[in-house]
Amino acid sequence: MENIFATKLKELRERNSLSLQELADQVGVAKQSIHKFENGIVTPSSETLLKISDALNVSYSFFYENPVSYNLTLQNIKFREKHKINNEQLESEIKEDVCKYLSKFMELSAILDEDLEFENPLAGFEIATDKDIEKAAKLIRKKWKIGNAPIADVIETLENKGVFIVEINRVEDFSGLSGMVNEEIPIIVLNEYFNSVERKRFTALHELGHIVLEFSDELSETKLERYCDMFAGAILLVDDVLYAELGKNRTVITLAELKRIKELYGISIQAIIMRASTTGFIDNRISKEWWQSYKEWNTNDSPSDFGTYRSCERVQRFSKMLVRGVAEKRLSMSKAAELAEKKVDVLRRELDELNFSVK
Amino acid sequence: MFVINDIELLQRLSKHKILNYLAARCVISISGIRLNDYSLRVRQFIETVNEINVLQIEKDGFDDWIVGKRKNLSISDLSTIYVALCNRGAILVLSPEDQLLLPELKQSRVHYLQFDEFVIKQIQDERLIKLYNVIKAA
Repeated sequence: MENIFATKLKELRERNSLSLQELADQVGVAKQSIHKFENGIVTPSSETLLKISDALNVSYSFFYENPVSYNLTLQNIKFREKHKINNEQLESEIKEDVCKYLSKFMELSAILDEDLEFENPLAGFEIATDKDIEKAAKLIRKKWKIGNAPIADVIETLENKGVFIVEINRVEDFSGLSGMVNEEIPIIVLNEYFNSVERKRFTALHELGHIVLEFSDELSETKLERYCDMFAGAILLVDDVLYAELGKNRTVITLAELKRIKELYGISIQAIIMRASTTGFIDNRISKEWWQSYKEWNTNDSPSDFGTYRSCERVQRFSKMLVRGVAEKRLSMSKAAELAEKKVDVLRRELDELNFSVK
Repeated sequence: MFVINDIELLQRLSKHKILNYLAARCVISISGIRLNDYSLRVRQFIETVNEINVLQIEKDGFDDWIVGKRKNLSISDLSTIYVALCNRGAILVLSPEDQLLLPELKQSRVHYLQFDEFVIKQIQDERLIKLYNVIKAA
């Protein structure tokens, strides 16, 4: 406990950009005391630790959490093309956030005795050509029993299939990343900062591509990224559906038509045009004309003319499990608040507003 | 001494002056760690109520004691039990939502009683008991 506490205290103080003296002043102890706490020489009393928690804006239980004990390591991390992260510190912070979230998730799963294992629906299906991507998208829809209908909520769908999704909010320029935890738990990290609802859906499925698609070794990194983009588009809007929506022998397209498809299927207008092009629905010449039209709409039309897909697209699995746990009296309200990193009365108010009978 | 875990219920009792009656008849305590689990609004309110003793625990002993304890309880739930355990003769008062504490209380041989029982025994005033039932249900 002492060593974990000491390490956490030092990291947290530095993350809050506080000097030893500044923290000591806030807590009302000598600077040397903080130094001794951080070096594990002395353990603070519970009263002092409560003051430290307040000063650093964390709960008392924060110092008892131990994400390392789950031995979580991320492998196979892939960032979106053109959004590569070179900052090692950022990568390390993201990993830390992911591990912390997963630790809480696993703790909650253990309490509720729930285990959702991920099974790759495309295992053994090697991708070598564009056509394989279309086949893979259709296969995954079939195995997940989605049919050709719009996917109402991509994030909820992926969470229900055992993919862990973590939302973070970073100003750094990346939309998402994926990886495997301990070689068995697929994880997708989405950066809310840059993601509209449609982009979030697309990014989540692009990252899913990195997890489930098995690529031929000869494929270049660029091709691989392109295939993951195609995969995302193909899952959001199946080619047959696209053809039916657009009709035969199209040369000219209107913004109103694309807006309708976007609002129905939750796929951006750019991605729809890309789908029409990559599936061979339109040839290169018409594709160029459609992109030209898109540029003109972008110049002349207001953002509202481009439509918005109405969906929650928020990570919910953890919250749903918490609610279930409290409702079924499998964990105390205080434990739920501890896991959700919220104050007890705040969590209760939130649950009351949702009208769950968990008293 | 009676140790309370449900601080929001305590707050409501205080607002409706029932706590005054209770505190006049017994010593009411809460765990400092438990209080920290609530928002500043609740904490500030409780800190102004003189009738409530906020007790701190001896951290090293608590850290040793919580090892292997039930995972469906929070650190602050456990701190309430520990406060009751460390204070001779203390009785932990359980609100309806504290029932998950029961197995640990039994395991640790901490004395406890239900909140309703506590109120009825201490107040012995029909009008206030009725008011308590209304507050509890709110």
